[in-house]
Amino acid sequence: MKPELLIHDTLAIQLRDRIHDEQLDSWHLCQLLLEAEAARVSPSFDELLCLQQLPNLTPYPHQLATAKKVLNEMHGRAILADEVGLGKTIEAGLVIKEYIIRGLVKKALILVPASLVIQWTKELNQKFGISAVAQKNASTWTDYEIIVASIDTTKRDPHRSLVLDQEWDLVLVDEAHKLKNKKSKNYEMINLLRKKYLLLVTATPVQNDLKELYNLITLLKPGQLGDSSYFHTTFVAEKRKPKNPREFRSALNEVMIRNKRSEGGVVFTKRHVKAIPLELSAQERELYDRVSSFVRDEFLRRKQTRGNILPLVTLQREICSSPYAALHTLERMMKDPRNTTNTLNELQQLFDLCHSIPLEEYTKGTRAVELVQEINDKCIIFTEYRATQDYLIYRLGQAGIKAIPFRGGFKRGKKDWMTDLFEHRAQVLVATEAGGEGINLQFCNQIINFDLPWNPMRVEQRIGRVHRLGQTRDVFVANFATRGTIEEYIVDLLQEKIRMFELVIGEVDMIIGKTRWKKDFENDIMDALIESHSQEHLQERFSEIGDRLLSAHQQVLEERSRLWEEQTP
Amino acid sequence: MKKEEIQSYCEKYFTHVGATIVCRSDGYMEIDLPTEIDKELTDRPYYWMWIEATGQTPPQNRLRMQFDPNMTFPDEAPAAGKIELISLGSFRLNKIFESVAKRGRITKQYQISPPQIASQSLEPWLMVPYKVSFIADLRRDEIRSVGVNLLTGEIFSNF
Repeated sequence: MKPELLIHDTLAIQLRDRIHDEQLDSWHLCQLLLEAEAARVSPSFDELLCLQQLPNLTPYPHQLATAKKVLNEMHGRAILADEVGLGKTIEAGLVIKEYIIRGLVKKALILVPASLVIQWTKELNQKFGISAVAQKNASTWTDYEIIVASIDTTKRDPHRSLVLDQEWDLVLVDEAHKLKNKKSKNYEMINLLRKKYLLLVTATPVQNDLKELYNLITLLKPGQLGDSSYFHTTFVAEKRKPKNPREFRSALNEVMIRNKRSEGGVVFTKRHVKAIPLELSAQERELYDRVSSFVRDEFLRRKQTRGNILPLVTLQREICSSPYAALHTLERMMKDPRNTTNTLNELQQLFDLCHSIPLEEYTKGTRAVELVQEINDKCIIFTEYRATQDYLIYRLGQAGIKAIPFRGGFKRGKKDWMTDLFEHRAQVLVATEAGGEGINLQFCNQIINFDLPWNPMRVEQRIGRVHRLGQTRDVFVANFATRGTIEEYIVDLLQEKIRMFELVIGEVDMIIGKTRWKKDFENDIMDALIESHSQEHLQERFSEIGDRLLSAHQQVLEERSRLWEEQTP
Repeated sequence: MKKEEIQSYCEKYFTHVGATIVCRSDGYMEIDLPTEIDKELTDRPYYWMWIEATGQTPPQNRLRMQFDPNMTFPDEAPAAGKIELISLGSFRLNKIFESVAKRGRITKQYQISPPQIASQSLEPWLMVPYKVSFIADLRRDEIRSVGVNLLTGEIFSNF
C-alpha cells in the first residue's frame, strides 16, 4: 500500500517568511520543544504511559495486567468482570486514561446507574485527572468531551437522538448485566451507539442464563460465539451449564477478563468476629419481655383489623437496641387516637417503665464504654437508631471518650469533615449508616455492632466500609448479643449458622438473591418472632431460616464453580 | 520524564522566556511571570481583556510549583493552597508545552568553527525533526530527523 503524500505548504511558506524576516525563535526553546515531544511520544504499544502521569495512583498488578490486555490484545472492546472489590473502576480508568494520553480517545461516554454518576465523575477527575463532567441537560452532550450519564436518561428523548447522532471514541457501561436482555431498550441503545472502543463492566456477567453472556458478547464482538442458534447448540448444556467448556472458555477469554480474589495478588486482611454476650438487668429484662409481649398481641390484633404494623416492628427492634430508642416510638404510639383505653394504659405503663431505667444503668451502654476502653484504638460503633446514637455519644462523653456522630443525612462536605475529625481528633465514630460510597475509613480496624440490622446486606455494607482494598490490618468485629432476646438469635444466625462474616464481599448479595423468602429476610424474622409461642419454637423457626440461607449459599457456590472454575473434563 | 527532569525542564523554560525564578529548591520553585507568559500559561483571557480594557497595571502573578508529590507543606503556610503539583499530564505542564511549541518552531544557527578551519566557508543545512505516528486502534510514535544539504541537495536521515 502506498499512502498518498500530502505536503503542507503553509509550513514551507512560514519557514520561508520567517527566515526572510529574521523572525527566529531561540535555539533553547527549539531544543525544549524537541524534548517535550520526546517526552510525549508513545514509544511502544506495550507500555502504559498513563502511569507516569498518575503519580498518586499505585494500581495492583492484576489491574495493570488487565488494562494492558484490554489495550493490546482486545483492541479496547472487553467485558471487565472481576469479582466485587478488586477494583474494576481502576482498570477502566487506566484504559480510558491511556487512550486519552495516546490521543486515541477524545469523546467518551460513561454510562452508569444514576446513583453513581457523581461518584464516577469524581473518581475520574480526582484519581485519573480525566476532566469528565456529569450530564446535566441536553447541551451537555455536545459541549463536553467526556460525559458521565445515567443510561436511563440517555435512552430517553431528546437525549437519545443527540447521543446517537454523535461518534463516540469510547463507551463504557457500568453494571453491564443490565444489558442482558436483547429486547430491552438499554440493549438497543448501546447497540445503536457508534463507538470505537466499548468497555462493559460487571461483577456478574451471568445471573440466570448463559444466554445473557452471549448477548453481552454480541454487543462487543458480534459473531464471537456464532449466531444465536449455533451458540445454543454448541455451548449450552443447561441454562447455567456450558457444553464444550474448554472451547467456551477460550472463546470467552478473548473478550472477557475475570480476576478472582482467590488468585491472589490482592491480599485481604483477616476478619475476626466475636459475639459479646450480655445479661440484662432485672429491670431491663422486665421491660424487654413486656414490650415483646405487647408487640405480639398488638401485632396479631392489628393484622386482623389490617392496622399499621410498622410501628410495632420498629418498637421490637428498638427495644433490642436501647430503651432510650424505644421511648420516642412509645410516645408517638400513645398519641394515636385509635388506641383503646386498654392499649393506652399499657403503653403508658411501658413508657414509664422505660423512662424509669436510668441512662447510666443500661447494660449495653456500659459494656460498650468498657469495650471501647479495652480496644484503646479507633473504633466505629454502628447502631440503627438516631436515639441510640445520641445516647452512645452522651455515655462515651461522660466516660471522657471523644466520639463523633455520623448520619446518612449529612451532606457530602459534612461527611468528609466528620471522617477527618474521626481520623485526627476522636477515638470513636458512632454511625447510623454505612457512610455511603467514597468514604474511606480504612485507618480504623475495629467495628462494634451495637445492634444488628435485620438485613444481612446492611451488615455487609457496614463491614465493607472498613474491610476493603487498602486496609492493612486485620479487622475486628464485635457483635452485641443480649441473652434471651431476638438479638441473640440474629447474631447466632448470621455469625454461627451461615458464617456470614467469613463470606467474601458480594457473596451475601447473591445468597440473599437466591433464597426464596416468603416476603423478605426482615419480615420473615418478624413473623418467626410473632408466630412462635415458646423459645423452642422460635429456635426452630430460626434454624429453618438458617437452613434456607445455607442451601442458597451452596447453590451459589456450585453455580459459580460450574461457570468459572470448573476444570476441563 | 522523571520529576527532576520536569523541574529542570521548567527551569530552562522560564529562564529562556525571561521569567524571574524567585526561589528554587529540589522539588519546588516559585516564579514571577511576565505578562506575555502569564497569558500563555494561565488560560484566563477575560481577565486580561478586562485588565487591558480598563488600562490597569496587573498585579505580579507568581506561580508556585511543586514537583515532588511527597513533599508536604505546613497547613498554615499562607501560600499552601496555591501550590500546584506539576507532573506529566498536569494542566500547567501541558500549557508550558503548548507555549514551547509556539515559541520554538524555527531557528537559525551558525557553527562556531575551531580557528584552524575558520577560513572555510560555512555550508547551509536544513534540519527538520518530525514525529511519525502510527495510528490504528493502538498508537505508536517515533521522532526522526532529516538533514538536507542545501548546496548539494543531499538528504541524510537520523541527522
